[in-house]
Amino acid sequence: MAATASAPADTTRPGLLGRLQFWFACFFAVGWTGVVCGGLGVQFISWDYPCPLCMVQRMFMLLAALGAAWIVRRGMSGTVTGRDYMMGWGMALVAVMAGGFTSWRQTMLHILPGDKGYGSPVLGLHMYVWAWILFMASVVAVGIVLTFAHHTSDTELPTSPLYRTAGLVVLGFVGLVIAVNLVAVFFLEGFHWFLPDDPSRYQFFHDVGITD
Amino acid sequence: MDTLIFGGLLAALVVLYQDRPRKIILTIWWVVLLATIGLLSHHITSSLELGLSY
Repeated sequence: MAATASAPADTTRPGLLGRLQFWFACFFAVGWTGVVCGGLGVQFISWDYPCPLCMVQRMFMLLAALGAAWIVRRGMSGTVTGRDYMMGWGMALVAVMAGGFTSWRQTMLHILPGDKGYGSPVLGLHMYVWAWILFMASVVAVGIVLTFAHHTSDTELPTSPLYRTAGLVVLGFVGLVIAVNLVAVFFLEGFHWFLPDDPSRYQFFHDVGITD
Repeated sequence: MDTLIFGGLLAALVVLYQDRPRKIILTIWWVVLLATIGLLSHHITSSLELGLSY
């Protein structure tokens, strides 16, 4: 019977790997949110209108960031259990796979010779190709951290203000970028259910008569 | 739809920050994910029509 009993959680190990996994979750959430910021930069600095599939990829990026944000939030309270890791990285994994499919689909739409692709290339590749590379890299990264979950979960994190402050900064950054996207897509879409295939204006301003 | 989904993402983050029960967070997160998948399927309007020759 003893073999079927679950082992009691050891919450006394201040392990290095546990702290590393907290910081990796911070990096993962900030990283994906930063990628969305890159999309916002192209949108507003290069003045490109994001296509519907671009917006869908941003949503999956932020859904993945929320998975890591869950681990960050639990870490702010002192302990990240194995259940927290499974939930957070599971959310991230589902989101990056769905995002990977979306960016693959958009890449395939422009794969034929002679097709110039959608939007301007960044560092030699289109945004959706970069997105596919990063989505696939994230699948590998999540797999790697899960292999160490046995050593990193149930670890008591230091109670220093550094962890709480870092967590607040991460969650605040994710929240700010979601809010900016919310406003930007509202102006892009206006009071319509869907974006057109090839947006060419901020529909809201057109609908209320501010622009032609 | 896009605006609503980003609203859902923001709601999920607020609930997560408030440290509400995981059931609530998961429910909102899955609803947003399924809505995003639905939006993706709406925007897939044709097959890729890729073959071995072009």
